Amino acid sequence: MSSRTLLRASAAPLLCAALAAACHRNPAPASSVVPPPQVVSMDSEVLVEFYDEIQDYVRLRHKAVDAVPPLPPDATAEQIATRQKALTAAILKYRKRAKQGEIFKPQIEAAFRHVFKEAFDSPEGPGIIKEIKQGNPTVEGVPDPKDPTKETTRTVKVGVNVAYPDDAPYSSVPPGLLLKIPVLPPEVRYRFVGRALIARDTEANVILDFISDIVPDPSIPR
Amino acid sequence: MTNTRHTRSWRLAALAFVLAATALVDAQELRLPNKDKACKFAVIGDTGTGAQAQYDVGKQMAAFHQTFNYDFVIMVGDNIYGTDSAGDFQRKFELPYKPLLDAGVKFYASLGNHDNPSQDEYKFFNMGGQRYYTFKPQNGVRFFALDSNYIDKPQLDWLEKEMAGSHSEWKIAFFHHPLYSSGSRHGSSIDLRRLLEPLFVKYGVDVVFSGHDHVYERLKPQQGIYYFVSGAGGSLRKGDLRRDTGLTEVGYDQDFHFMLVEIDGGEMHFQAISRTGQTVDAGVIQQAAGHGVTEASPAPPGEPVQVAPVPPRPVAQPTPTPPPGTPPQETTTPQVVASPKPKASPTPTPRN
Repeated sequence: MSSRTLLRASAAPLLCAALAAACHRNPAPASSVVPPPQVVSMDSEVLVEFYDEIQDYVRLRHKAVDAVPPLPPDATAEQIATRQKALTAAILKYRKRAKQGEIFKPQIEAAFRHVFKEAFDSPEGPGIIKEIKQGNPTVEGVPDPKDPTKETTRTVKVGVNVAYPDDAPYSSVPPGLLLKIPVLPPEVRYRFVGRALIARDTEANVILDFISDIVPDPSIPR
Repeated sequence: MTNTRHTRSWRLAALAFVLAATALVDAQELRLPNKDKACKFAVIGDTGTGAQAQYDVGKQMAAFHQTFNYDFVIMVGDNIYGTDSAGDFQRKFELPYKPLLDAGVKFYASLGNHDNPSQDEYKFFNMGGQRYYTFKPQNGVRFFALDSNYIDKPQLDWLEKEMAGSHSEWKIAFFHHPLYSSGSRHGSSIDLRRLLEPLFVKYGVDVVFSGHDHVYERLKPQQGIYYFVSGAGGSLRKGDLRRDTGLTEVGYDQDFHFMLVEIDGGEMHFQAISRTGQTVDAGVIQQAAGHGVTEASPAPPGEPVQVAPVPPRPVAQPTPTPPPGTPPQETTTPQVVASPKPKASPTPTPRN
């Protein structure tokens, strides 16, 4: 299935997959299955609640998408930038009262923290932490156009409805970690800014919600 | 006195001319067979700075395209650094590669950690609105472009389905974060490797191109797969290659570069070229017999895939001088490690 097809799909199949994975009592070891399964060790009620929140956002986003002109198949850079700005504005308009903790509610946040801690404490933990630093805007800079052998870091403010700066890099999200947390629909991505986990709209430059200090590594600046 | 000065000046000018002409000849030196029906392409990575160096590399690419008429370019990510307004796309992509775009060369991009995800809609990147996709430029060769920033379960499942369904003899993956790298700044992406490498081995991927570390590196084959890091098309980390990883076959971290590749039957020829036209690496990979011919019989891991490096010719250019305080480099001048091994390493040495 293409990612574009997924874009139109509701989060329901993802929820089913995540719930099935969560209820999988004796999953095969990840290393022995290619590709490894999604195993989300979260309470099914928490998962349902999380997906409800994500579904709500996706529904709201559809309204915002309907309010902006679609991109033509052969989009120019200008058309892409214009649409991105328009979509960002439309999303912000529809969720101007959003607050921290509306997607990552306290019980959901606790479940994420638990899963992350287990991942960091596992033998794969160092590799996962290393990956989180890749592209993390508090760690990695942008090459200077005048001297591209030098780099400067950008400041990214973490907050709900805060615009993610369009000149800042994006962190990697370690695949080993992605297999342990709920799969998101293509409209939303997990990212890291410093030690915080954020949920960011894929196309619009908007931080939807965040969990502070979920990465315990002090070598990563906040 | 004046005459002597003039004579000296004339001699110096003549010498400069000879050196420049030699350099130009060398800049056009193609180490690839350049056969008519071969699959020809270029590889660039970490390009989108809009810096002069990116334009210099673009000029070399255009110059080589005059003799080596490659059809497309794969981009291994960080296509547009910093802001990405329409002007940025022009300055950091369309202008540096204008002669190639004008000549009808297609660019196939993958997303790096500096790339806005919306780039997948940009017409010149030919991603078809997908952050991961596959294409087959000609029979027998299939490319898989991945989004290594975010390898989630849907992408993994898609990759397996596409690879399992591919009957191409050559399977080539490209994405931003290297599974193996000797770059000090980033190095190998271990968590990514843990998930992707078993898939690559299972389905007989032959070659992987990545960037992210702003250097050139050809790695020793790992599990029968050839890995290249080509991450200095517009940004550079001088002296970034570590010497102690045991992973490097050939490395170059002193200048910007790009790669040319030609696939002809069971052979993949490659050439890495600096922005001054210097060949920093060249060779040929022989594909294992029966590799990837049918879905039912993917090549077992570790099948022999040979590299026959072509030693670089001496060039009439000064050796780049490292900045003061730079520690000794792994390869301050292009190096090609000696004789090819008849078989891939029986015990791969994945290290960080």
